[in-house]
Order: sequence, then C-alpha cells, then structure tokens
Amino acid sequence: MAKTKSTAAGVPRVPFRVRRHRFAQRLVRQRTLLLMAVFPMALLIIFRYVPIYGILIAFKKYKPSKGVWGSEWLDPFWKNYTKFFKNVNSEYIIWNTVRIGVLTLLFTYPMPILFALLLNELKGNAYKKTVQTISYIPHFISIVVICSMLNSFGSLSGMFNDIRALFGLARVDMNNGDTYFLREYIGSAIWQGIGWGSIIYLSALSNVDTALYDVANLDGANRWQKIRHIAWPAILPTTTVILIMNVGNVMNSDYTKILLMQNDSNRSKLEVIGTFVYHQGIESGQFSYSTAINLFASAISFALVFATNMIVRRISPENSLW
Amino acid sequence: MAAAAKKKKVNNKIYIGSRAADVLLWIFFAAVSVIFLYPFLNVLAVSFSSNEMISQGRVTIFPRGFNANGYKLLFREAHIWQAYLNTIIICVGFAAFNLVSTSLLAYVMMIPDFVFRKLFSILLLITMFFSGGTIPTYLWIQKLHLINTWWSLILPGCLSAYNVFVYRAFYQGISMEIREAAKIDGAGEFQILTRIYVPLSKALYATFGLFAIVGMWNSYYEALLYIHDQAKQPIQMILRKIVFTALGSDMTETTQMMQNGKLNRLNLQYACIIATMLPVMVIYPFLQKYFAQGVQLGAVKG
Amino acid sequence: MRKARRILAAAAAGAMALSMMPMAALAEETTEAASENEPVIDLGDIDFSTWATAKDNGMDLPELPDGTLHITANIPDFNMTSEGTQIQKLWTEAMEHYLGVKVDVTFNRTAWADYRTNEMTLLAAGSVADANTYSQGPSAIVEYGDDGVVLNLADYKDYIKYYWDYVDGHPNGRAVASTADGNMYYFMDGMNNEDNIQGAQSFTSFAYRFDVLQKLGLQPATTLDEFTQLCADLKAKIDDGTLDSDYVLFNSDSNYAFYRGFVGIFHTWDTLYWNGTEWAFGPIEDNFREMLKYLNQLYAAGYIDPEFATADGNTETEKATTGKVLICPTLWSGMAASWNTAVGDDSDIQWGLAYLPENPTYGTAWKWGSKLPGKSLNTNMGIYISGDTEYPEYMVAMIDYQYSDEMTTLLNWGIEGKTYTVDSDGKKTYVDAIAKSDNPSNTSGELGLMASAVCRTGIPFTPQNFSAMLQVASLPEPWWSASDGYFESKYWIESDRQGGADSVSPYDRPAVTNLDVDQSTAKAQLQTACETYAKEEAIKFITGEYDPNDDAAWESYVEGVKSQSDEDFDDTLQMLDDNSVTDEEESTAE
Repeated sequence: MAKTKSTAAGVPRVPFRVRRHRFAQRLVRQRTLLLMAVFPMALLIIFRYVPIYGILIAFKKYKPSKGVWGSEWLDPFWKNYTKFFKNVNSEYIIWNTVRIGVLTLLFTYPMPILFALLLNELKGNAYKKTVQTISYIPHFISIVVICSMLNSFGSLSGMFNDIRALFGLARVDMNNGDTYFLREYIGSAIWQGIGWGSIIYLSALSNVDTALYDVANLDGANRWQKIRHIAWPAILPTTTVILIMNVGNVMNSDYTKILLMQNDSNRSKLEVIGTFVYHQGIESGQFSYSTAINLFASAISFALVFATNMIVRRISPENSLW
Repeated sequence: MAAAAKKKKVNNKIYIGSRAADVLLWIFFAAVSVIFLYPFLNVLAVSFSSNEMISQGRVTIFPRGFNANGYKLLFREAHIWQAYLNTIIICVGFAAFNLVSTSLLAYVMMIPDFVFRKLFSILLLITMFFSGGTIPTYLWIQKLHLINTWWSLILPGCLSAYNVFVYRAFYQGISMEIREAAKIDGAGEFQILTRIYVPLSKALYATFGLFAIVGMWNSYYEALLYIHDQAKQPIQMILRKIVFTALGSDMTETTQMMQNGKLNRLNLQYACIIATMLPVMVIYPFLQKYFAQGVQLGAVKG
Repeated sequence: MRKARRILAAAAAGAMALSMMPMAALAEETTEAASENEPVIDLGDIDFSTWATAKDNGMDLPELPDGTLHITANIPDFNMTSEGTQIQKLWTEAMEHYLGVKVDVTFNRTAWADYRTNEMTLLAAGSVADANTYSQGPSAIVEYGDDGVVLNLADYKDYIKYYWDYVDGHPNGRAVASTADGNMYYFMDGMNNEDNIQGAQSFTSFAYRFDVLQKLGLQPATTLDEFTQLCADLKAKIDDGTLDSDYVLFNSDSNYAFYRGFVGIFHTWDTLYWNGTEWAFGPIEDNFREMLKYLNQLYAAGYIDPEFATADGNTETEKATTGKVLICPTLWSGMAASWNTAVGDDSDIQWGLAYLPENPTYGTAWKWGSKLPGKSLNTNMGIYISGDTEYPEYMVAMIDYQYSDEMTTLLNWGIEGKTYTVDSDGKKTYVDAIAKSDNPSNTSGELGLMASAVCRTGIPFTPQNFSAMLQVASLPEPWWSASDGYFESKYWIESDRQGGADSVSPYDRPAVTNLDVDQSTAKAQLQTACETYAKEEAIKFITGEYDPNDDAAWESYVEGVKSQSDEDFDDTLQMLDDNSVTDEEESTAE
C-alpha cells in the first residue's frame, strides 16, 4: 500500500513548476479532462443549480401564486429566524437533533465496516454469499413496517419483553416515553443498514491485490495482522469519504421514522428539526418558514462537513474531499 | 483477462489462520442471519395469512390460514405489468446515466493537478445540502418540457456528490503508476478511464449500479410529481395506488366494512412489499461475482 | 477488456431503452383495452328527451369549432376507479345532452392520498387542468383565485342553476360558499340527506363485549355512574378469575387520544372548536379538566390498559380479538364488525355497540361528525376550474349540472327499474342484485354508483346521496339500547335515533369563519402545535403523573398549551371570533 500513498492525489506531489503554469496554459493542456467534465457538470448546473434560487423563499413572504421572484421580502428579511429562535421549543429541538444525530452516527457508521471486514474473513463462498444476500434484505422492508414491528415488539406482551422476561427482568412498555427510543431507533437503523452499507466496503475489499496476501502468508502473518495491514488500508479511503459525508447527515434525522415512532407519551421529547419542519411546512402550510429552518440545518451540516474535511486534510491529505 | 481465471484459485489465501476463529465467525453469521431474516419472513407469512390469524397476532414466520387475496387484488390491476416494464426501463436508464456521468467526473476530479479540482468539489458538496425545493424544481422541469417524460425521473438525480466522492476514493486506490505508464504508451485520458479504470472498478460499478437501480426502483415521489400519464407510471405509483385505493386511506368509514372478513389490510400492504422487493432482489446474486475476493493488478498492467 | 466493453454495452442498452419512450404511447392503448369482469347489471341506454338542457335553462353557450368540448380533468381515484364504469359512460352522455355538444374529457387520475399530497404543489406551479378536484378548504385557494389561476365562479352566475340548492340548504350557505369579498373559487362538494338522518360517524358509541355482559347478566351503561359501576363489576370479575381478560378499558389505536370517546360526554372537545357561540380550545376548558379527573379515577382503579397511549392499531386489534379487553371507548364505525369477523369461528367473542353514556350534569352526550339534514355542503372539498380554461361558460354549466337531481340520482341510484325501484311513498330501494349481493358496496361500486362510497363518478366531487349510501355502504352491527335490548342496526341510523337532536354537537355546526392566509396560519398553530402539546400533557393527568385536582398543575398545563403558539393564543381565538359570521347575524343583516 506504500506505493499508493506516495502517488495518490496529494497536493504536495504536484511539482512546483506545474503550479506556476499560467492558468490558461493549464486549461489548454487539460482540455480532454475538461471535455470529459462537461456532461456531468452540465447535469449538475441544469438540474441542481438552476432551481436553487428557491432558497430565497426563506427570506420572503412567499406567495406561491406570485412565485419566488415576485413574492415580497420579509421585513426584516431574517424574520423567520427570529420567529424560530423565539419558539419555546427551538432550543430543545436543535439540541435533540444534534444529540440523536451524533449518537446515530457514532453507532451506525462503524457497523457496516466491521461487518464487511468480518464477512471478508468468512470461509466458504456459498455460505458467505448467502449471508451477504440475507444481510441486505432489511434494507427493502419499508420503514412503516419496521416501526409497526418495533411497536409490537416493545409492547408489554411483545418479543423484546419476552426476552427481558427470560432474563428475569420486569416487563416494561418500551413505547412509553423516550427511555427506549434511542435504543430502538439506532438499533433498527443498524439492523436495516448494516448489510446494505457493507456492500460498498466489500467492493473496496475486492480490489485488494492478492499478491499482498501471498507475501503476508509467507511472512507468517496472523489474521489480525492481515486485517490490520491489508484489508484496512484497502478500505480506508472509502471509509474516510463516507465518514466525511455522514457527518453532514448529523442534522438530518430520519424524520419519517421518528414520526412513526412518536405517540402521545413521547411526542415532544422526540421532536427534531425534521419533524418540526414537517409539522410547520406540511401540516400548517408555512413554506417560507420551513424552508428557513431547513436552510439553517443545511448550513450547519455544510459547516460540519467543511470542518471535518479540514481535519482529514491535516491527517491524510489524499483522502480529503479537496 | 487472465485475472478472472486466476481469481478463483487465490480465494483462500486470506483465510490462512486459526480454525477456532472460523467456527466462531460461522456461528456469529448464522445468528445474525436469523435476525436479518425474521422481518422478511414475517412479512411474507402475513401476506399469505388469513384475516383471523393476522388480527389475533398469531402469524410469526409461517403463513397461517392460507389466503392469497392480497396478491389477487394486486395482480388484478390492468396496468401492473406495464408499470413493471416502465420501471425496468427507467431504472436501467437511470443507472446508465448515473454510472457514465459519475465515472467521468470522478476520474477528472481524481487528477491531482486538475485545474478545477477544488472548485468542482465545493460545487458538488453544495448540492448535497442545498436545493431549491419542490416548487422551483417543478417549474424548471416544466419549462424544460420534461413533465410526463421519464427524463424527469432520470436526469435530475443521476449525478450525486456522494457517488462522485466515493468513486474518486476508489479510483485513488488504483495505482497512479498504471496511469502514468499508459500515458507514456500514448493513451489519452478518456482511454485511460475506459481501458484501465473502468475494468479495474467492476465491483464499484456493480455496487453503484445496484444502488442506482434499487434507489430508483423504490422511489415514487418524483413520479407522483412529474408523471401524470398512467401508462408511463412506474410500479411504485401503481402499487401505492392499489394499496391506497383498496384501503381507502382517508375514507375510513368504509374501509373497515369493505374487508368483509376476507382481507386484512396487512395482506395487501405486505403483498405489495413482496411484489416490490422480489424483482429487484434477484439482481443481487448476478452482481455478487464482482465482489469476489482479490484482483491481480499485474494482469492489467501487462 | 471484454468486461469493460460489456459495461459500455450495458450503458448503451440503457440509452436504447430510453429511446423506447415513445413506445409508452402505444402501450397505453393496449392496457386501455383490458376490460374488467362482467357487470352484474347491464344499464343500457337512457332516453334523455325529458332531461333538462342548458338552453332550456336560458344559458347562452358559445359555438364550438368542431362541436366538441375538449377538456382535461385532474381527479383522485377512490377505492375503486370510475374509469370504464357504465355510470361514468352515462355521465358523459347526460352531459352531452345537457350542454348540446360532444364532451371529450381527458382524466388524470391519482390515488386519493397521493392526490392530496400533490395538490397544492400543482396549484402553486400553475399546473392545473380545466377541472380539478379540490380538498384543501376555503382559505388555501384564495390567493390563486385572486391571482387568476383559478376561475372566479361569481363572474359566471348565469351558468349556475342547480348548485344553489345545496348552497341555500347549508346553514348560512351563501357566506360559506364565497370568500369575504364575495368571490367563489370552487364548487363545494354537496351532500343530499333527504331523510334527514343526523347520524354520526365515530366516537359516538362505546363498544362492549356483548357475550361477556350477557353471560354475567350485565348491561351497557346509559349514564356515567352506571359506566363507573360497570367497570368496577367487570374488574372484580377479572380479579376473581371469572374472566380471562387483562383490562376493562382499552384504546383501539394510539393514533386516537383515549379521551376522544369521553369529551362529548362532558360537552367539550379535544381540539379547537366552535362551541355554539364562540371559538374555544377544548383541552383547556374546565369541562375537559372534569373529564380528566374522571378518567384519572378510572385509571387509578386499574380499569384502563396502561398501553392506551402507546400501542398501535395492530396490537390493539390483537387484544380485542383475543379477549384481553372488554370495553372500547374510541371507536370508528365498522370497527366492531371487523373485530367480530376476525375472532374466528370457534370463539364466543362478540363486540357490540351502545350509545355514549350520559353525564347528568351536561345532558345527552355530543356526537362527532353528524350529517346536516337536507341538502348541504362539505366545505373543504370541491371542484375548481382553471382561470385559463377556453370555454368557462361550458365548464361552469357542466360542473353545475352535476348538482341537478337528474344527475345525482343517476350517479347515486342509477336507473329506475334496473338498479333501484320506487315504492308508492316515493322511497327508493336498490334491486336485490345489488342489495343482496355478497358485498353491496363493491357490487354498486363496480357499476360506478357513488352510493357505494368506494367509487366517485363524474368529475369528483359530485353530491352523494346519504340515504342511498346507507343502503349499500353501511353494514349492520350488534347494538344495544335501554328500550330495545340487544338488536342489529346500522351505526349512522342508531346514532341519530338514540342520540336525537340534542346530541348534535356545535362542533359539527360551526360558524362561517373567512380567513386570509396569515390568519389561517395562526389558526393552524392552535390546531397543530397547541393540540399536539395538549394531547401529550393531558395524558399525564390521566395516569396521575400530574394531579388533576391540583390547581397549580392545571394552570401550568394551560400556560404550556398557550405558549406553543407562535402568535398570541388568546389573540388568535379573538381573531377567529371577529371573523366569524353566525346564522343570527346573517339573518339580522338581511
């Protein structure tokens, strides 16, 4: 893997004089590359950037019939934000979003990596393929069904309580309040995403040069050492990129799932930005307000990704986004 | 392509290690599989069970009081086969555009001294977090005359920042020396991508082809917005329609009566889940061979 | 390089597949041809010579170039689609007769739930058809009407004749049907309740285990005291092992607040509601607190299943069908019947209904969702017409004609002699082929009859005939009343008969409140944020986490509810009152 490191996309590798090339010269020299980028960048600009002006409604008194441009500006234009921060629940909602997001990231992110590394160690091709196929089935089961199962398992006569009873613990209504919410929310997220998420790492592992294993076996390396020095470096770039981008998802809780897990005993405790936007935007029809709150969450996510990328760039520049 | 032939043989090199660990792993994965499989079996069993058994909560992983009325109701719908075909076309088209555009951009952005490397990265990243919202997007799609065409489902989402970054990370894992060697041989950038990077990234394409197909297969919101013509609608729209209309959604007063004891609403809902899952699940085994362990880079270099 | 080529080939195949898109047009024709199974009754043709025409009604319709009215309609599909039904075909013929031109409607059909999700987006994008089903209530459409996206029907009053019957039949109808400025932006959905059955849909009766009551020689309760006693008796039987059940009372689904079944008994409501004289917020009223105190007693005595706020419909259905529980106070019509079909043949379990017990302090309990007598409007639903439609006169005349008796009879009852008969009193009855079929609702729905309540024909919403609906769409369930004992009857009929006029809650007969967009948003705050908070906190008074007898706890709860609104809570209530027109005001003004 040493050779990869020395030649990969690090800035320091670029010879000094290349950087001094005049911009125009570089453009000419890289014309094939630019040509190759035309189609994807055109897609990006046409379908992502043209409609992005819609964000302006966060600062406007949006009347759909007048359109984004025609609607009047709010006075002052940041009015939606003063409204949000004045709301009695906003502090709790923000905190709760961060709390759920960070914990979810901490527990769900490493799981598919571990799963892939372990699966990679599994002997027997047919068995391995079967496990793999089974592991991603949960990804296809709709969240409505998952939540309905969670509700049933967590009820007093449900399966979770049967297991508790087996260990001599008292039965509790796990759907009541938020005591068990995080465990169920994160547990089911892991369960649903672990197999599906591991596909990407398995595919990274499949690119390992098998010659490396020959060498390792000759040297008498044990399993742990092979994971540590062959498999892990092979998936490291992918894990890093995925980590950076998952950090950006911290503010995006799975709000449909939370909505489904809410009931009258825990509703306010489970409120996050996503559910708040849903209630304000969809149920009360406040387009501008919900856009404004979404924009706030997006800005935080963007900043988080930016910061994470900076840190990654310090540690291993070749794995950073830029 | 000698690599493909050699792959089979080299498979067991990784496993040289303790027997005990093998057994432990084997048991671990057996246990985990049971947990993964339970809800699916439950959904399958419920979809084939009788109203009584479902209502009384007596169905676990085997159907009880066999009843296929849910499926009958599904496949009674005249448009369903057309919709399956539509979805297949949309998914394949989406995957194709997705793979082509993502590979191009990811390759370009992998080049260390590419002029717009940083600019493009940030432009891409912005799209991950900021979007114009439903209505401006709708108006724009309308202006482009894409309403009621499958392009409205394929084009807007086919390039995602996430994919580009992961592709790039993959490409970076391929030794730069190969690229430089090819350059010396007189290969252009496009040739290097198609002749070296693409073949070396089969697992990547299998993965993201699968992600694209499954993602598009399961999506319905865009179709709900953009495809008004029933003959062009994808399967999800039709399935939702069957479930919603048969269950009456808001018209709850009659919902309960309609059942007449023969059908539990879960019969239909779960039949729908199975009808959605199965066709797309069969793709996976075909792609699995690309995840097989080990590649011999030497074979490509030569 | 073979693999690489294969991938490229796959990409090429994808691109080719895309070029197949025009093929979809071809496919459309083939799917259209696939016909439904044999109809029960062949409706044949109608002789329209005695039917009205727009010309006879003095309407002046312009000449059409090819003698055909080509229009589009965005409509939802309900449980059964109207596409291809016989009644839908006759609707077109009747329309052609009325308008004097050929009518060619292109329908865009979307499932009802999806239709509602999408509705406002399409309206905001101006992507509207000539005629569109509407379901978002009076205030949401105003800006589009003011902006010209939606046609102002008030400009075409010459082409409206039949709609007025429904408008004038509705309390304060003219004010209801127009905006504060006198504009009319949609035809409101009509309901014809010719037999004046003011029955209610749900939460108007309690479900009891009839088999258990009969075995123990007990009876459903008629008063609240009896109800308390009944709970105590049943609890004693559970405790001494006579009954193999866990709890006396349970909730049918955690989506419903448990007290939903009790608010009417205490003459309050669990939402923002019109109380007969002004707008009130139920969950902070004293009556509501009374109710919580009562439920707290029941809870403390161990009668109520502790999962009443947390277990979903599936779990609760399981309890109901396996005998774990005995009384359900949160009940939709039809639920008892569906439980009874799900208990299985070898089980004695029988659920039946009895009207809400009465609290002597307040008198007859209020019921929820009772129908208005005679012809009336369903104000949240309707049809709007595009402001850009080419022939607005035709469009208005066309939608208006859907409210005529000829048309509503055709759509609801069908054709005399073929689908229904009329007795000497003029009372209509469906023929046996429909009424006595396995599932009358489905049989009539397959013909396209709206009375089925599963199919909506014409351009929805067209007026439904309630008496027709009762014949086919409502199944009998076991009932009990103090005077008749145990018998079978239909929910709507019993809730009308047993509840009587006093049971019609003011909630169901609100004042007309015309609001602009900002005012609607303020109102929505009370209906979402405040109600949600109240629902969650009120439960704590039931479980005893808060003491309902403690004034300080109650005060802080009320404060909490009020603080949830972004606008001032009391100001919003005042604003609603200020914008409300009541019947009396209207009549004195005239």
